[in-house]
Amino acid sequence: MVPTEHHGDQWEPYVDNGGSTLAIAGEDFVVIGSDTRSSDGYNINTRYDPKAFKFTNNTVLATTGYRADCKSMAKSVQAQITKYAHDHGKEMSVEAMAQMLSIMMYQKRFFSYYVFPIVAGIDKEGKGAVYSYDPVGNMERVGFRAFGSSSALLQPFIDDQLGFKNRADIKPEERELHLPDLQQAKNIITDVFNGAAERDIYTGDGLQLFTITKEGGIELEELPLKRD
Amino acid sequence: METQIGIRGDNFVVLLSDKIVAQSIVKMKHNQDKMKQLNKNNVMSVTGEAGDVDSFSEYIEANIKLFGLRQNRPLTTSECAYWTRGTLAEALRSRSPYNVNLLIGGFNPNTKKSSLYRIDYLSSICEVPFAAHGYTSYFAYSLMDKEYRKDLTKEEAIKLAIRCVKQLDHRFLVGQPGFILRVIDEEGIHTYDSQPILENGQRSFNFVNVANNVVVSEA
Amino acid sequence: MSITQYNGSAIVAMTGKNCVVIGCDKRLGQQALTVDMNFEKVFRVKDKLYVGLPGLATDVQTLHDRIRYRVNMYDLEEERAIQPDNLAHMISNMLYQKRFGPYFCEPIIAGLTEKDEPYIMGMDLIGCLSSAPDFIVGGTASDNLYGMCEALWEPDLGPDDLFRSASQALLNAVDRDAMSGWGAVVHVITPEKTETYHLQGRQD
Repeated sequence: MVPTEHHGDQWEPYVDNGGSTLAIAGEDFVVIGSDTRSSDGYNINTRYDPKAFKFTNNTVLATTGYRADCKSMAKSVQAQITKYAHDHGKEMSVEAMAQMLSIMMYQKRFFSYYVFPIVAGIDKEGKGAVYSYDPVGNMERVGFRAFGSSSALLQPFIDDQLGFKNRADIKPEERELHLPDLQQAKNIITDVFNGAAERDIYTGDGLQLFTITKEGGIELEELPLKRD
Repeated sequence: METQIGIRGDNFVVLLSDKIVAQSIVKMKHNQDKMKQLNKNNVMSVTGEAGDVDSFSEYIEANIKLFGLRQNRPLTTSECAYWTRGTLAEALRSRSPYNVNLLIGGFNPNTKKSSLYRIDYLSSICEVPFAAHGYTSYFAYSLMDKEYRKDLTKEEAIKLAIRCVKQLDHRFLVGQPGFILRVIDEEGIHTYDSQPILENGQRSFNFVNVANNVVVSEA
Repeated sequence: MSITQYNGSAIVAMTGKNCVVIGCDKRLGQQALTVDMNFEKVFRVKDKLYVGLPGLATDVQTLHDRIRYRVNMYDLEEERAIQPDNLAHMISNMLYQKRFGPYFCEPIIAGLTEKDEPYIMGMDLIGCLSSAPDFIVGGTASDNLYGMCEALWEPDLGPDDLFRSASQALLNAVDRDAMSGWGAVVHVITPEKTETYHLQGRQD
């Protein structure tokens, strides 16, 4: 059960608004998918509340958890990124943004943002980068990551398809040789989100697909998901 | 707080349990034998709530003896274990469930194989190579996971059980001064009692065979 | 934590073209402590009829015993083989008899009917039946299994492909669940024969 603000007489500072995010890092691209539903318990607050946003020409931040905290945190991050650009005369790199977000989150260690962020972008070497966090800023660079209400449905599947876990045909050590191309990555995300929307009542309505490449910058596609 | 360990080899089983009867923070008895000899080649070790332990184990012991007399053959280990589970499971859903954890080990003279069954107070049963109950499991399982082999000899299995006891003595908050160890094999049941603390105050981990006073130690 | 999650389990049943598979993990635990790594939760009822029992281990065993007894009695009284839907309703009835003190187990039935059509059926712990055309999952890894099955299942798979899909679904689902795993068993049921495969999985 998703927690609501009022649990008996006790006021609770956090609400889980549901929704899911999924990011895949490729050799020279990143794809990051997120649904657009925002709910509170059995109510749908809105069918279109995007979770992922472009931050620089090279980075996208997607966050599930408590929408108010997501937005508040994103605003602080955006402010810092703009300030950085003015101070240094250049855009912040993904690596820098990732590290900065970790620090900003840990600074709120004892009244944390209730958020599960994923930062995606192209790193200095031109490779796809995905960083995932826990709510207090513990950061890890990963090849792929699913977060949110459908994370249990999404993550095992990408472990199989992208981590090559329990596969007789491909060894996990040879993962580098079998990384998906852009289209395969997109297909995996749309397929698995359709599956999640089928079973998880907090995931659905619309799918936003951000694609980041070195040449093309950031592209956004919007696809429909189940609305029931 | 009670200790129960079982290790199954190819043709023997080692069972070990402590001897303490406690009520709240008080040790009421220091030499309680917590095992029941079900028949010639099966032993059941029981821990749990004080009254339940006695009433349940006596009921099981008597009935298994009765089965043996009526059918004119001793029940096998699996028969003992599954009948015990059935009785415990029935009681679980009644107004008076028994709060007991069991290990049943034995040797089958027909197949020349041994088996060890672990039954918890919810009466889930499993046939396992080694087992422990309660807090002991947090200390003993890691050691048994590391050291257990299918082809463990009787001596090695006893030593492994003693190592578990030693580990408990070293790390477990609640000190247990004495243990009883039983080996069930083709010849029957052999009982070992732990040696008391030596005169110089050193803790002894030696066990003495009650029948012939032969001492076994970890070394 | 719910009592149904005390021992840990994962079970999946899938339909294919003239075949079904049903599989389970092998762990038996007491919360986070693993006690047995060879505890199967799917049981043969007939050659082409299996039942999976995810949930509290003691009830898994009690139910298995009772199902076996009832099926044997059915064989003797009716003098014909029990069909999957008969079994489903029999188990459902057994569970509902304990409506106010239930067995903490949510059975899954998989088999082939008289006409060799695939049959799967799930139910909750008080016997409310729920059928599905594709797959049924249960246990502590059920969310993970839903995600895997939604992505991997497709209609009219043959026995080999169905076995592969179910195995991948099971293994990858239990690897993201701390309460289940330690290897898996998958039964592939076809009109000719039923084959049982023991899968090696992560031992953590």
